[in-house]
Amino acid sequence: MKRGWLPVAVVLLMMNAAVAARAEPLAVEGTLFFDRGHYWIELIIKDSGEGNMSAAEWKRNDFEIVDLDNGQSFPPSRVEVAGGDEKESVLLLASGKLGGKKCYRVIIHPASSRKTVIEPICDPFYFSPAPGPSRGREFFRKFIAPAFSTSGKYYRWSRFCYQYDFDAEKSASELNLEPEFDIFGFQFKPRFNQDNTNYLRPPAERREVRRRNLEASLSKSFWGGELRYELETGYRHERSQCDEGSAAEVVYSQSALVEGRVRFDNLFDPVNRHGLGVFKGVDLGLGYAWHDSSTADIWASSAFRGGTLMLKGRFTWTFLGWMQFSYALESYRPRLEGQGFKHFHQLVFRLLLRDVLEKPSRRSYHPDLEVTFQRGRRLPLFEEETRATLGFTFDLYPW
Amino acid sequence: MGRFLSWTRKRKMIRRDITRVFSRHTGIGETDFTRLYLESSPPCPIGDFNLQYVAGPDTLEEIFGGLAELTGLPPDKIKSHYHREESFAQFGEHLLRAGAYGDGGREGKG
Repeated sequence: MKRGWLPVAVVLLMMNAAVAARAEPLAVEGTLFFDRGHYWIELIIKDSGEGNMSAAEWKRNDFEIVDLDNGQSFPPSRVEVAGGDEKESVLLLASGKLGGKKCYRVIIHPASSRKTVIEPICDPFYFSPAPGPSRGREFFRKFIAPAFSTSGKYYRWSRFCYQYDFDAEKSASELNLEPEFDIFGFQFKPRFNQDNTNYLRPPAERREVRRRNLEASLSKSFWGGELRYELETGYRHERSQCDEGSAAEVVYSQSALVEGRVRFDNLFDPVNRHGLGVFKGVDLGLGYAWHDSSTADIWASSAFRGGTLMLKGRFTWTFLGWMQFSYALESYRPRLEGQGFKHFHQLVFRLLLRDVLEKPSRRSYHPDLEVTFQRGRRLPLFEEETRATLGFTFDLYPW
Repeated sequence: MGRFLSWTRKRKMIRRDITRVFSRHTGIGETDFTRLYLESSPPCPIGDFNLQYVAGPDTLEEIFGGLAELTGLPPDKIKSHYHREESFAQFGEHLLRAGAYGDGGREGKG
């Protein structure tokens, strides 16, 4: 009898030695995802070169799933073989206890290998997004933004209605409609705008002008390397009514233009690295416009008596994530207006309240506070314009 | 018939494609985009990126078009999953659930 147990002991020792030689943790990658109406845990078990179990050998009792929020542990109800090859096996663990917005730990304890723990295996929706920590943002959130809360008010259009009287100079934007359509890869934008603008004419004579314009443009953009190119052609018709005392003068004007623009944003990658001060919308444009004006109504069928070279540039700079400056310059050299360039400057400053203050009902975000300043001469009349606006806007972009 | 793609693999692909396409059309490099918007904890919301780096609505349309080419999803569907209050990781997960790379996708340039 004593000799009988010796071969058994030898066999047992050999088996344990073989197990010890293969008892390395598995190389496993785990993912939690939602598909076909359920949550699953996908495990990719990589071949360690030491004779891994085949996919079909895995059993549900080889796995233990632990909910990291409440510590509850349970085995999968089912193990499916999803795919794989000689290098790896892809398994799916199913259980009605798996849910979204959670993190899990999976413990694999097959007989042929040492226990392997994979954690955390999380649903991407477990992590709630939040802006990066910043003292500048915190200061703005606590001490500046609350002064501009518009709780209880909201606006229908992206441009607000404003009136500000400053030394008898008055400017009001009442209505601006600008839908955009994509037609066979071309962007088509019809636009309607009506506003009242004061024009300053020498010698310091001020007249109130009411403008109504219709505009249509066709554009196409494409990328070449790091730069974005855009070609645009457009037509604009404007009716301007100048009120001076009891008399009213009506001027009709029209312009047609062709313009090419280049965007240089990708060249600012090294400057925009840390998100403290970020440049975007850095555009340069060159074009030509034909224009004409008359006291009688004119449309595209009439001849254009004037022509002008156009140079345009603009950029937007966002600082600390709560202030935004945008500047645009338009330069013209009209043939009919004599020598020299005419310039038109636009400056827009925004306080970015959108994600800081409570959003109004039926709105996705709070409006920003915007101050704009415009000065100079531009198409179609090249009259001196000075305009300042102040108010709230839901428009996400400065132009 | 496309080759089998595990969800783990698809998640890596969508992350790579989002990084490439978004950084190509805006003034941020791929490394910085990954650091600021994919690997930060907590993750930065998409609205933060729109605010600082997106020049205009045409930029987003081009981005959705670029993602459509890589994922096989139509641009409108991609746009419908782009929510300013969510993170880019969540945006990518929406696209995977919507069937991105359903036939194996294209592992080309962004």
